[in-house]
Amino acid sequence: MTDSKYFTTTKKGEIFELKGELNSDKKEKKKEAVKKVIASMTVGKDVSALFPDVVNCMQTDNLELKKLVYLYLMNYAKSQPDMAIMAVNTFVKDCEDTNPLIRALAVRTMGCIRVDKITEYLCEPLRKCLKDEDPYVRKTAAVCVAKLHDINAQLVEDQGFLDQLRELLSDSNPMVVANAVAALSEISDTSPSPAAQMEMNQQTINKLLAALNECTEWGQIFILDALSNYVPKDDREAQSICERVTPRLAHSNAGVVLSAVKVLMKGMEYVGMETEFVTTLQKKLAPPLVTLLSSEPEVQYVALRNINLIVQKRPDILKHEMKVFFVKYNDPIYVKLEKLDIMIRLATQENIAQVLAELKEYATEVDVDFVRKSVRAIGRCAIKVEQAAERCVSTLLDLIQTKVNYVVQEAIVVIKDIFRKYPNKYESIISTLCENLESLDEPDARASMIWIVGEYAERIDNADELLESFLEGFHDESTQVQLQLLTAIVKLFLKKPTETQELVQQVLSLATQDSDNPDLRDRGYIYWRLLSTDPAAAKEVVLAEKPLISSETDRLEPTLLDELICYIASLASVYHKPPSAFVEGQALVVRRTQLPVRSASGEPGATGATESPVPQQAQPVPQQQSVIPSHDTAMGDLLGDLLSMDLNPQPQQQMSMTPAPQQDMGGMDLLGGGLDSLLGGPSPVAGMPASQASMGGGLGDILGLGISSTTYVPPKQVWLPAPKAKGLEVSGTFSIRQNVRYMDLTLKNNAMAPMGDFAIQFNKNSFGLSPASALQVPSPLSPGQTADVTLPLGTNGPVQKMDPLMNLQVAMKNNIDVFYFSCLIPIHLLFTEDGQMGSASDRKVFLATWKDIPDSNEVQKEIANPNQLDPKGISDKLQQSFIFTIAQRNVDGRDMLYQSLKLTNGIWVLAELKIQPRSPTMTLSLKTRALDVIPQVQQAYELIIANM
Amino acid sequence: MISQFVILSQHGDILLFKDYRGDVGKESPELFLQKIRDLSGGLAPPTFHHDGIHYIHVKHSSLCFMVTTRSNVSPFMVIELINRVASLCKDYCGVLSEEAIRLNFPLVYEILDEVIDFGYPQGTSTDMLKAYMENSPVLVREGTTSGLFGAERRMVPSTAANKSIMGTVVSQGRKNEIFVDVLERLTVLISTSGSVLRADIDGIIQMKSFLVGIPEIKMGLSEDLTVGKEDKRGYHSHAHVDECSFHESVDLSEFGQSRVLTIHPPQGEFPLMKYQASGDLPSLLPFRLFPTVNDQDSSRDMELVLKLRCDVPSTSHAVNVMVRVPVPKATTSVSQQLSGPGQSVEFKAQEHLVVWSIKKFPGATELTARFKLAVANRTPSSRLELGPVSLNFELPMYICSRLQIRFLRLFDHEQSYVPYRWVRYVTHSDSYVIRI
Repeated sequence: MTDSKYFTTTKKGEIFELKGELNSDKKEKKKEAVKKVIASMTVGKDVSALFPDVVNCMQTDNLELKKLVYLYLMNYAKSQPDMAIMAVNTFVKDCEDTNPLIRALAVRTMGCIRVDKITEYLCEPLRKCLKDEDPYVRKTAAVCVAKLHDINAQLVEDQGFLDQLRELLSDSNPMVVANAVAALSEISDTSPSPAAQMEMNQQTINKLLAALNECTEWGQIFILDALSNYVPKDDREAQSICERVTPRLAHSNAGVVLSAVKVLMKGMEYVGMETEFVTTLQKKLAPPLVTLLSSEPEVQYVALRNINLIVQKRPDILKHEMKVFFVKYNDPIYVKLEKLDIMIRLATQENIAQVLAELKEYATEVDVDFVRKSVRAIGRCAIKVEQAAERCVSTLLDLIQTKVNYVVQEAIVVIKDIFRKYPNKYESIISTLCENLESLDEPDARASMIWIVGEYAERIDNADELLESFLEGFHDESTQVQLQLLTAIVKLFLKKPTETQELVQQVLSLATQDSDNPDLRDRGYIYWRLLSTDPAAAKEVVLAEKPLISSETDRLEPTLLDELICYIASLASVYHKPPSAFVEGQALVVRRTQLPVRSASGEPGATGATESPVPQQAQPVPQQQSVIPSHDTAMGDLLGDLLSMDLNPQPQQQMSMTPAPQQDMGGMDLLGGGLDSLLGGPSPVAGMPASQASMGGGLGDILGLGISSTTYVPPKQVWLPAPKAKGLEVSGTFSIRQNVRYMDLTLKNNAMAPMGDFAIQFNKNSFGLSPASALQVPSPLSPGQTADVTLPLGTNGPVQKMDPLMNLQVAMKNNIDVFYFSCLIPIHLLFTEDGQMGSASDRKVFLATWKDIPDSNEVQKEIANPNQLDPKGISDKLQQSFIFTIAQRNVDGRDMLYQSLKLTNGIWVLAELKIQPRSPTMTLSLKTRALDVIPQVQQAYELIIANM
Repeated sequence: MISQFVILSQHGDILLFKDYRGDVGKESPELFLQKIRDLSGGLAPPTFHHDGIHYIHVKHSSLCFMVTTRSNVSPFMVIELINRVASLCKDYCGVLSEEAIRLNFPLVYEILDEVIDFGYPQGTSTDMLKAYMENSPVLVREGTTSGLFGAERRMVPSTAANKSIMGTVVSQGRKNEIFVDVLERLTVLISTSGSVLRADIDGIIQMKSFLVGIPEIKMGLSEDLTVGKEDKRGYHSHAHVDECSFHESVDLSEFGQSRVLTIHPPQGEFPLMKYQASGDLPSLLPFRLFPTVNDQDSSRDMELVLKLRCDVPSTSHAVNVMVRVPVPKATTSVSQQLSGPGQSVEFKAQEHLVVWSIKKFPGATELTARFKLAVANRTPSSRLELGPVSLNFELPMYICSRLQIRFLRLFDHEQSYVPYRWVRYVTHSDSYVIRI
């Protein structure tokens, strides 16, 4: 007799029959009946009607029967919550059983009954089991805490289970430790409450490292994953963690190996840059990674996706292992494509010959996708390794000769890129390409070919005929080809105006009159006007030199790469997307995803890591960002500093054309008299007399165009008093003009001798502000003279979290000495012009992001509205400082403005502004993932609104 | 952490469905199968996601093991876990097949209950689990066991090993047996000029133990075995591997000195040692191919002569040799001339492939095959479409790394018995490609 009879088809009355059997007195019969029930359950039949009968079988000494009943219970309890309570008593009793197996079984099953009502009955037995003498019970209980947390997080926190769990980290049994780590990690990942966070200190780390050597392979994975989230306090500690984790690389479980690789990849970031330790460690990483590639295709695929990240971060690790990435003929296609990608990343001048020979072979294989990728790869090699370009081109020509349609098309697309990378080098092959014109039927290939013809029209005798042939079916072409054709013919016309006038007329009219595509029409009109007004200018525009294309276009964006390195050995590393893009409820885990930021000098980065935002394709919602992890205690002082500033209200609507204030005005005078005199003028007046002084008419002209978006500019402050700097007095402020950030400085020579050789440098700062050009001071600066200079600023400088956050330390040099001073950057200097989330018509993005940010990240504040401006005024005013209004609503007589702004490092701040009519205050709620910036943003609002 | 663990038959029937977290719907197997079917060729990458659910799946002897999750788990952990559950099923049910799972579903549920808790993998060692198992296995009838040797990638040799580790000695007439397999997979790539671009060995020593208790076993490997890339010598007459890793039950204290492994084998099947070697192999490559292509005269058929030499010692032989030659797409027919019996040629016009099969190929011999390919519209590129040649073969009792098991001794103080020891060596081709 076999169990397969359980799977026989349901007859009528089967349930009734089973009911009878379940209530039988005979144990064997009962057991058989429960098995039948479970068999039905597995194939998806509804046997929930038998719930009470099955639960009745629960009280038994027979462990096998008990397990079967529990199996049923876990499946159906959710749909029968009231009935499930019937089982509670048995659980509680079983938790007291003398047999540890029964105790563990009870505590395991209880947690799986996901019914809120029974959770309160669970607490007492669970508490006992967490302290059970048997490790098997304890490890089961540890997991049960995670189960309970999933059902009722509050209960777990209130009942102190988290503390009990933390105690288990010191348990004598490594299995218990491993489960406690797993449970704590999950709880801290999903819980917003700070109490639930897993505290990692040196002591915990030591415990974990000790347990690592003894527990099961799965436990090792939990522990390694937890270790990878720890930020070592210095490079020595990082080094010692690395040393203790390294032996795990030899484990036969691929999961352990890869999790160890993650810990080491992160660890290396904390140990100095190019130390010997790192070099040795990198060597040790290669063999295990290569070993992974000899496993089943499933493991290979995951390994390759991870290796793809690793070679982008540290190409040295696998630079000698090119051969293992050669494609095997029996690899599944997904493995082949990944290998191809890695081969190109590893291609260098030394191994390029080998790589090319391989690629050429692949290009004649059967699988179309693979062949296309291979051809494209040859092109990428040409662009990456200049010395090999010639060989690549000749290989591509060979492939074109095969006349295999898709090979030819793919080759032409990459040859276009090669032309762009190495202009005027390989044009001799154009005639060969032209022979294949007929066979091209894919838009990409057609567009590329047309581009080539247009670009080299002067060398192709029959360029006009070729292009004309495309023109016939103009309206059937895809937009891409149409645009390319338009440009190519205009280029041709500019090169050979006499013969092609008719052609260009034709294409312009096709593009402008017969097309519905706005892009095409606009481009057509632009060309048309250019050509008719000023052909010389048209030539300069259309035939302008093109920027070279870069060789590493396919690389991941560095910040995304850094984030993904932190997610090695997780699904994120397979998809090459941060988890926030595909896992729900992960948004909170911000601090874990950061690699330390290093300064250029290579000194070990402090623990305060900064992360730039991660732009993602097709996903405007910024994810996972934070300026600076730790909180700032000095924020209060900073606020005080800013508020005590002399806030002369400065009308900023528009730069005026009024004459610049006199040259001889001192820095201080500017603040005092100069600005006061501008106050309240009928037409709003410029806020930057200083800059005008030095830039003269030019600036005026630009500003006069009236297209400037002018943000609020705080008045100048003395940053470096003369006595401290041997007679040099520096005052300044920050401003944005024409989307460029400036530091506006006034230098005054109070000394007796002329000054010259001025230069300026910034220290690392929170937002990576750095001078974008050298300091231009009219030199020498004679005694008593004042010079106003503007210094354009970039935001890509080295980043380090400052205290206070907005502090900027500056070093200024002249022929006398080097002086140091510091100033505060007004945060609105960092707002960017693309800070409008979504668009006015599409508010979904904003809404989704608002909801996505947890409520705990919302901060409310009353701010002043001294002029009692209306929403429109406020919104306009703010917009000039790049705070964008996404939506406006009127609720109960109050106006609500929903706004967004973006900082230069990609942090988004969302705001809700509640405006009470005729009230001198309004309520500002800010929501952002980076709480640190909130006080500054609040201030910025107040400043901007107060200075209407 | 993982949400569901599902075992599907090759027809897509749900054999087993275990839900651990209740955060993924019960319809996930159908969604999964739908997704797989939508992909052409059924070559879905082992992990993919759809609608917030991640699917990770691995095939084991025609069964599909599928796991769903919503969190950012370690995919390796899941794949390894699936492999482990598959081998546990095999250990407990004897074989891994649809029937075995159907017959033993309460047992497999029990295994899954013990091995994974709330989506976290727990203990997976066969021995340890035994203490918690209540169900007894139902054996699959003889004769229905899974395929021939080599049907599965890494399998313990004979069907003698296809039995459950559960059950009593008496009832099954089971002896104290231990099976050891030394399996090597060979990846070779030879260029048109005949130079070896790549020669890799992936080796594994697989052990399946039915020994009672945990006795101590000493296994002596080739004494001249060298390990490590740096440790290569000028001549390669002795065993060598570049890299090796061992199962956690192995004590390596005598390995450095005398190449002896001390093992406390858990019951069931496990990989004892995995190793890799690449570059210069300690022995000759098992096959050499000397191709000649004659396509000068485009008015006549393309001629291809393949001379294949088996370079293993004459005491060994290769079986099931298959030479696959991709031919130009425009090939309309193929005629051939073979040098002896026991060979056959098949022209698969659909795949543009000529397959030359040789049942048994003795060592140190040579076979020649001449092919005439009728190709319509010959172009210069027709030649490019010819090749590369790939070889599939099996070499019983032959190992390319020269690794040998010198002895296998058992030390058990309580019981004195002689276990039955079965040792096998096999080399398989993984990807053996010769460009022509």
